[in-house]
Amino acid sequence: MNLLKHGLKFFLLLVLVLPLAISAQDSTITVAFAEAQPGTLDPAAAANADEFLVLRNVYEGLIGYDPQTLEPVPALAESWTVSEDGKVYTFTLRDGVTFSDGSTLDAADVKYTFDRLADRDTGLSYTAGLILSNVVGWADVRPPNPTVAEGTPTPEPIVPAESISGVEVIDESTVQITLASPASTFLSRLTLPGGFIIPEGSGETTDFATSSVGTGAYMLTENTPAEQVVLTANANYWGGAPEVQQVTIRVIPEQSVQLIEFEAGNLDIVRVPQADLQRVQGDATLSGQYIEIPTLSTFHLRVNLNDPVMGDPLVRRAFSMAIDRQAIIDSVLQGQGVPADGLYPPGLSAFDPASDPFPYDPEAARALLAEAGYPNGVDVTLRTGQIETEVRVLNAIAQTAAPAGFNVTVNSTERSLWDADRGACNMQAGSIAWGLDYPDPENVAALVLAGSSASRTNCGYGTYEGVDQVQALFTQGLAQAPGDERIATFRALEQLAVSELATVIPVYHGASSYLINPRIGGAPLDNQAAMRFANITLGGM
Amino acid sequence: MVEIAPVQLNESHSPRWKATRRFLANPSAMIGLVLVIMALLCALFAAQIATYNPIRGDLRAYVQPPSLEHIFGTDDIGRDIFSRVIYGSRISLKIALLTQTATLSIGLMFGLITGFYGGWIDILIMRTVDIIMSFPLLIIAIALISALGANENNIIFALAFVSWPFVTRLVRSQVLSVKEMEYITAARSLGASDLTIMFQHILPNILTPLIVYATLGIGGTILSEAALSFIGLGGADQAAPSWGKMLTESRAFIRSAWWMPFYPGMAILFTVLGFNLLGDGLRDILDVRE
Amino acid sequence: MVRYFVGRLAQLIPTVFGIVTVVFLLMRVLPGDPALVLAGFRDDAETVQTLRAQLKLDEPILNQYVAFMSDLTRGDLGVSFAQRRPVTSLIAQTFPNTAVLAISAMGIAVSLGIPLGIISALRRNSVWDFLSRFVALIGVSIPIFWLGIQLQILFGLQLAILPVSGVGFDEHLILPAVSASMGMLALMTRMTRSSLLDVLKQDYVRTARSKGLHSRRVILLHALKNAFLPVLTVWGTSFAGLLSGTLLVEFIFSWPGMGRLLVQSISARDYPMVQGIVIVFALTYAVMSLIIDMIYPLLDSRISHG
Repeated sequence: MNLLKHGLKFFLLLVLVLPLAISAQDSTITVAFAEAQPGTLDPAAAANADEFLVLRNVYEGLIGYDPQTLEPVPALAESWTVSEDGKVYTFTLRDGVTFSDGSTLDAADVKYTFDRLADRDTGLSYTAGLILSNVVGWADVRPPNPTVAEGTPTPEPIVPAESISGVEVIDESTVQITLASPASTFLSRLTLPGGFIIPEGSGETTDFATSSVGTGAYMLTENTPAEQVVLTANANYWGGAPEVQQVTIRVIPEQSVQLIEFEAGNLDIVRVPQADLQRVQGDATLSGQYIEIPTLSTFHLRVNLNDPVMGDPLVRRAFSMAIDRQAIIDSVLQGQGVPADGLYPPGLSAFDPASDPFPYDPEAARALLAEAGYPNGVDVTLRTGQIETEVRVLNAIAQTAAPAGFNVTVNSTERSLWDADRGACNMQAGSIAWGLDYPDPENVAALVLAGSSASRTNCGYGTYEGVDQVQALFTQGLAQAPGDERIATFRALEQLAVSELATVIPVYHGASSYLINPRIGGAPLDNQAAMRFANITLGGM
Repeated sequence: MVEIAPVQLNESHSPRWKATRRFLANPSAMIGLVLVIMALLCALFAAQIATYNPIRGDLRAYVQPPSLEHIFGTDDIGRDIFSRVIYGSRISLKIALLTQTATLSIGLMFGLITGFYGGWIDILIMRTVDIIMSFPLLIIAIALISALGANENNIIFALAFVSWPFVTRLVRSQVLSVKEMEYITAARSLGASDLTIMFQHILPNILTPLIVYATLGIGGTILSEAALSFIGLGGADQAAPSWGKMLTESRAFIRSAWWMPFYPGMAILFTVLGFNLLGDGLRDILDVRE
Repeated sequence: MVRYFVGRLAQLIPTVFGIVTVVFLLMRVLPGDPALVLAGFRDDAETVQTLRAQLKLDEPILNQYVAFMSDLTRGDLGVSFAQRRPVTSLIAQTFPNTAVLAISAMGIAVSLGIPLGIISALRRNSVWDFLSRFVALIGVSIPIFWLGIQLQILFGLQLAILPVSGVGFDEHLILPAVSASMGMLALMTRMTRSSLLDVLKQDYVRTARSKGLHSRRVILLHALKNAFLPVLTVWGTSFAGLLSGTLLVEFIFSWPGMGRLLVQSISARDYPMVQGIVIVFALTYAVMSLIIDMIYPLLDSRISHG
C-alpha cells in the first residue's frame, strides 16, 4: 500500500515536473552577436548594434516604436502632449513600473538619465547629441572649448552646467522637455538607446557598464566577455512576463561559423552571410526558414567635395551613371536590396519611386567625363574599412565603371585608418553603409550637409555650390509637421542635392536575410531588423 | 683534338657530375624540380598562359563553378580564377623569394658573427633577437605595414624583419656546436683567418639545416602573406592577385563555392611541395660532399 | 652553472623593459585615433573631443609614458579603451584559454611529431617515412582557416560528434588544438627527421669503425641526444609561430583567447589592451626561451656560455 502511494506520488511528480523541465529547456533560445560583442552596456555610452541588441531588451525609454510601422508608441511614458508651438513636450509616466533592482520608476529617474546623457563625461554615445542637442540647455552643459590665440594666457575653461535645463520634473510622474526649436523627429529620436531610463544614481556603480538595471522584459544575468551574454525573463515586467525564459547571446566572430552552428541546431536565429545566400535560397530545408527584411539603409559613396577630380559635379554625375546598380544587386547582393537613386529608402514616405536620375549608361558617362575635361578617362580611388560586403560592392562598382572610362582602385584599410583619413579629408570617395537611426528622411538628408554626424570635418559639404538652398530646404522640413508638405520639401531637397548636384552617390538600399528556427514563432525581428525577444512565442516542436 | 679526349673523361667523374646524376636519379627531387619550374614558368609567362584578364571580370559570371569557359570557375566579381591563379604566382613567388633571400642573408650574417665571436656582440644581437621574437609576428608586421603603407615592398621588408631572428638563432646554435670541432681548431692552428674559417669551414657544415629551413620558409612566407591579408594588409584590392589574398577573399565562400579557395590553396600546396622536395634533393647532394 | 642561470634570468629584465617601451611607442606611431574608433561610425567633433580628454590622449607623450611605466611597476596595466574594464582582468580571463590551447597544440605537435620523425629517419622509404613527409608537407601548406572550417563541417555538422565552436576544456578543445598544431607538427617531424639523419651519418660512420663493440641501441641513444639540439631550437622558435596559429584558430572556433583580443584591440587602437597583451606574450616567450637555453648546456657540454 505504502509502495503504491509512493510510486503514485513519484509518478505524478514526474508527470508534472518533466514537462516543466522540458519546457524550461524549450523556453531558452540562443542567438549570436552580429559582429563582436558589446563593449559597454551603459545606454549613454553604447554606440554599436551588438550593444543595442542587449540594451533594447533590458532597458526602455519614454517612447518605443511599433515593430511594424516603426512609428513612436508609448513605452515608459503612458501619454504625452505637445504644446502649440511644438517646443514643449509633457510626458506622463506609467504607474507601477519597477527597475530590476526593485526601485520604482519616477520622474527623478528620467531627469537623472538625461542629465547624465547630457554630461560630456558620461554621455559618450553619438545618440546623446541626436537626442538632446535640440533641447534647451544643451549648450550650457556642453560649452565649446574656448579657442586660444598664440601667446595669450589660457582663459579659464567655461564650467559646464550640472544639469540640462530643458528637462524638468513637474511632479513624480510628469516630465517636461523643452526644445530650442520645433522638430517633428524628436519623438523618434527618443527611441534611441541614449534615452533608455536608468534608476537615479545607478550610473555611479562600478559595474554599471557590464550589467543592467532596467525596466525591460529581460534582465542581464550573465556577461562573460568574449563568450556570451545571458538574459533572463523579468517576471514582473509591466507589459507581462515574456514567454521565452532565457536568451543566450553567443560571441561567434566568424559569420560562416554562425551559419554552421545554426545548421547544427545550436543557434535559433542567424544572419545569413552574403556569400551563402545563393546556397541557402536553393536549399530545400533552409529556404523554408529564410526571411528577408528590408533595412532602412542607404549605401552610398561619400565624396571629398574639395578633391580636384571628385569635386566636379560633372564627374560625380558621370560616375553615378557608370554604376550598374541592378547588376551589382543581382550578383554581389544576390537580389537583396533595391537600386538607390536618391537618399530615402523605400519604407519612408519621402521615398520617390519615380526618381531615376542616373540610369546605367557608360556611353553617356564617358561623354560627360570628356565634357568635364577627361576624354581619356580618370583614376579614382575608393576607400573603405575592411568590411567584406562593402569591399565586394566597391569591387563590383569598379567593374561596371571601367567601360565608362573610370579606372577605379579599391583601397580597403583598417577601420581606424579609414576613419582618420575620412576625417582629415584625405580621400577621394569612400563607402558609407548608412543605416537610419530612426525612420525619418531628416536622418538621411543631413548627410548632404556639413556638421552632420557622418563627417567630422566638412570635406566641402558646407561650401559646395547650391548648399545654401539645400540648407534652406532642410531647415524648412525640420520645422514642418508630418504631412504632404513636409514630404514635398524633403523630396525637393533630394532632387537638388542628389539628382542635380550629386553631392553623394547612392548605390543601393539594403535588406538583411535571416534564418529562423521553425520553433520560433511570433515576431523575433522588427522592421528595423532589431531582435525583440519579448515578442517571441515558442511554437513547440 | 686528340688531347681533349682525356680531359673529357676526367670531367665525367668529377664530384659535381656525380652529385648532379644522383640528384637526377632521385624521383622526389625531380618532382620537386618540375613543380618549381612550373611555378616559375607560370610567373614568367603569365600573360601567355592566362586566358582572361585577372583584374577585370564580368558581373554576370558571378561565382560560377568550373566549366569549359572558366576551367577554375569564377569569383564574386566574375573574374576568371584560372587566370588569377596564374598571375598570382608572380606576386606570391616574388614576395616569397625576396623575403627568403633577405632573411637568410641577414640571419646568416648575424648568426655567424655571434656564434663565432661571442662576447658582447653575442649578447647585443641575441637580446635584439629575443626582443623581436617576443612579439607575435603579427604585431610587428601590422605596425610596420600600417606605418609604411601596404604594398609589396613593405610586406617583404616586414616579413624579413620578423624572420631573420629565427635564422640567426639556428645558425648560432649550429656554429656553437661546430666551432669546437677538431678540424676547426686544426685549421686555426694552421693560421687560417677568421673569415676563412667562417666561410670555408663552418658554413658548409651548417648549411644542411639551413637549407631545410629555407625551403620550408618559402612556403611559410606565402602563408604569412595570407595571414596578413586576413588582417587586411595585403595591399590594394584591385591590384594584381596573390594566392594569399585569393584565399582570404574566398574565406566566406568555403561552403558555397568550393572552387574559390580550392585552386589558390592547391597552387600554394604544390608550390610549397615543390620547394620542399627540391630542398630535400639538394640536401642529399650536399651531405655526400662531406 | 648557477651563475649562468642567474645571469640569464637577470637579462630578462632589460629585455622586457625594451619590449614594453617599443610597444608603447609603436602603438602611438600607428596612424589612427582611438577616440575616433571608440566614437563609432557616427562621430562628431563633440563626442570625439570628449573621448580624447577621457582617455588622456592629448597629454604629452612623455607624461603618458611615465604614467604607463609607473602603473606597470604596480602591476596595473591600465583600463581598456574599448571595454572600460581593467586590462588585467580581461587578460586574466583570456590568458588561460590561449595557454590551454597553445599547450595542447604543442603537446600534439611534439608527442606526434618527434616519434614520427624518428621512425621516418630510421626506416627510410617506408610507409612511416612517407607518412611523416606527407604530414610535414601538409602541415605547412594547409591554410589553417580552411582546415578548421572543414573540420567543423565534418565533425560538427555532418558527423555531429564534436562541438562546432565555443570554449571548454573538454571536447571543445579537440578541433581547435588539432588545427593549431599542424604547423608545429610539420616542423617537428621534419626537423627531427633531418637532424637525426645528419647525426646518424656522422656517428654511424665513426662508431662503425670501433669494431661493433657498441650496440645499435647505444648508438641510437647517442644519436638521438645529439639530434635533439636543433630540434630543441626549432621547438623554441616554432612556439612563437604556434601563437600566431592559435590566433587564427581562436577566430574560427570562437575561442576567447588573447590572440583574437589582440587583433581586435589593434584595430580599435586600444592602446592599454595591446600593451598589456603584448607584455604577457613577451613574458611568456621570454620564459620559454629561457627554459630552452637552460636545457641546452645539459645536452651539449661543449657549448661555452660566452
